[in-house]
Amino acid sequence: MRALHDSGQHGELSHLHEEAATRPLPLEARRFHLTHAWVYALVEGDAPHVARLEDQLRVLGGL
Amino acid sequence: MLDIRDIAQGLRSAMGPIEEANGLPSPLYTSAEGFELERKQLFHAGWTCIAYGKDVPHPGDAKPVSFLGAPLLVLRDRDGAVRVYENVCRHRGMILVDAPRNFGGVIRCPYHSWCYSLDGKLRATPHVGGPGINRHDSINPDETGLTPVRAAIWMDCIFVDVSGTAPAFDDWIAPLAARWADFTDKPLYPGAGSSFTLDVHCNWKLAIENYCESYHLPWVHPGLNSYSKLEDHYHIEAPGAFSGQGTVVYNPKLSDTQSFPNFADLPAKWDTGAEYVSLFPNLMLGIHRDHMFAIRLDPISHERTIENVDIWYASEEAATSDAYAELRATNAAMWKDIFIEDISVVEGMQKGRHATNFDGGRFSAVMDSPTHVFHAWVAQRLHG
Ligand code: FES
Ligand SMILES: [Fe+2]
Repeated sequence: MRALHDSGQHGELSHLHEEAATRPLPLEARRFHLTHAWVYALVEGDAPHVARLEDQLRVLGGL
Repeated sequence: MLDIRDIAQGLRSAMGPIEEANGLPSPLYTSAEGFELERKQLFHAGWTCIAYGKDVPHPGDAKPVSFLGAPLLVLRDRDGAVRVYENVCRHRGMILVDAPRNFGGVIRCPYHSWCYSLDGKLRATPHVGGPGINRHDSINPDETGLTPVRAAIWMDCIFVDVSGTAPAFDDWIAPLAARWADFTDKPLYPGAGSSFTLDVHCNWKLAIENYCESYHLPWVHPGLNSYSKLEDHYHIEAPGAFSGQGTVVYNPKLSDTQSFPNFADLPAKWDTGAEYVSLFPNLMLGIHRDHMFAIRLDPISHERTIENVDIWYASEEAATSDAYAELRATNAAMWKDIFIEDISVVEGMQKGRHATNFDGGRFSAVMDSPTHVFHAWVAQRLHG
């Protein structure tokens, strides 16, 4: 993930964070991952993905 | 420390009638304080060219510009409009964009990842309310977007007014737009391989004042003078706005077999006419029936100036096709040679300005009036 951070592959990063958020983690950790997934989806300009992540974040109180 | 009172008399003299006037006082050429005064009262107090539209050709393209120290971001939005913002994050003031690039999505601040859309809106504030909580009542996105800078584009030149108090751009540009109305409604195509820069060790004003007069042509540009003589030139003077010179014998032979297409529907006077204008403060333009060039001055310090040269053509084919590549290269090389010929005189005048007793110099009342128009403009803006 660190290598991706520097590589400009934001779509990939977004999906990795989103995937991490599906693991059985405390709510705070899932929200944290979804936040990063959301930011990188915004950077990627992937509007449908952004909308999906915003829905999830709202449910978890992140937006 | 330079005090405006120290140069007030010199400024008043520069505004006087040309027969009596001296040129601008030397501290405006040789001191950092003079440069700072101009930054505040000329460059950051009115319309100034900071980039070309061709620098950000595609939606999402962004170019950071240091405008005499003020960090600006020029970008083309999704609808193709050029926008200019302060290149600074509204959070803790981090520079947002440090090199030209394209944004497919938002602009993310490299520090804490606040994100802005290309229309300047604050789009995301990750963790602003604590880990994983991405909003907070104290940060209203509607009030915390990128700070827009008043901007306009004309003849593919991008102008800003960072003060926000200059006259409306259309009013400001109206005198030159009227003069060149034959061209202003025509599309311009940036020439491939037609950009170059010159790094000149002189105050920016020397480049302007040299550009707007034809007096030096026979001495400094003997090649040019062989087909375009001094007597074929006339002065262009719009006090308070621009000055320059025109020729009635523009007809260079770049090739025996090929020429560039002309802009459509030009009146006959442009068949052999061309005009060269310094639009105050920092843009030098040349207009011809088949191409336009611009030299945008980026003043780096009181004694160093970058000249950014670009050439535009009348058709896409002339501007980009391989068929015209050689002709474009020849044209760019011709202009570059001429602009390089000017470097020794503008750098020489920069050295001359250090002479302790130099009074700003006298003008030829006949040949130097475009230069005097420029000096009077500077003096008026500094002195009020
Ligand atoms: S300074 Fe830009 S997000 Fe903090
Ligand atoms: Fe010249």
